[in-house]
Amino acid sequence: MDVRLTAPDGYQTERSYSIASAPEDDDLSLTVERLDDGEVSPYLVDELREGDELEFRGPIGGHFVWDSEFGGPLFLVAGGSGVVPLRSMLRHHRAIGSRVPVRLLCSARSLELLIYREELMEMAACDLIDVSITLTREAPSNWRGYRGHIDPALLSTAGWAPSEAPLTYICGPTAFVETAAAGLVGLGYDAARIRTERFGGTGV
Amino acid sequence: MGPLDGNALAGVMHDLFARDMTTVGYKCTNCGSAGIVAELAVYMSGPGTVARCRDCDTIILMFTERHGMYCIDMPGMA
Repeated sequence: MDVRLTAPDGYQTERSYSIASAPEDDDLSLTVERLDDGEVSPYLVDELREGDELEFRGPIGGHFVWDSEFGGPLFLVAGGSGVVPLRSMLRHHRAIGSRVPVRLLCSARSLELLIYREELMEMAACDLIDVSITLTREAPSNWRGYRGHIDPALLSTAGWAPSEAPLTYICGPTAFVETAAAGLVGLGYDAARIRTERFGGTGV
Repeated sequence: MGPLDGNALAGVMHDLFARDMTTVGYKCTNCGSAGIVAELAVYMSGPGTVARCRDCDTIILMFTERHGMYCIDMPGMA
């Protein structure tokens, strides 16, 4: 979705944000990560009030979408706020009662910074959905998940065997997406079944 | 702001071409690599938008907007 803001003097600027909700949800949700040096996100996070009007365009873009016809198994790889569009896919998966098995790998700086952590934990209770989390900066003392940045070993452990022909969606900051995509191709994943979306944002 | 990818062009390209352009294919005139618009490396922090080949950095397409009028150039798209 594109969000356009217009200042009183007519200056306009727009940004694209991923949809966090599923098509079946009653409301459209966008999740905006506040970037300290951003032009738009601090306004949306700090200043926007109920009743304020925004201009939207979309949703448009047929690349980074999952349709149940595409099948699976699904491997979803999120860096930082890259989890947002993947959460939309997971909610859609649940809403349609899909039987496609899903593995989700999230990388976040800390557990507190993992967006939707409670909802992801709830989703992980479903037999079809497996959630792996790696924390790159801080972890609770009793943390039993993964530590450190993604690498081929972690991708291999958290993902599917290439022979299962997984359909993979990777979303996160550019460097994260490149690392994940190159790692998976190196493990033998079919590059044609890897879809990516890169955005600006704080790192992972 | 670091580079984004062609997914970020979905909205504006839809306005210009009246269809989803992110799944449209391209072939780089310099290195010959082929892909879809969603995979291009996109720089939006300058005065215009520049999309480059992910393999060789050649400029595939550019566009700028002023007073509601768009100028589109596709120097590297074959």
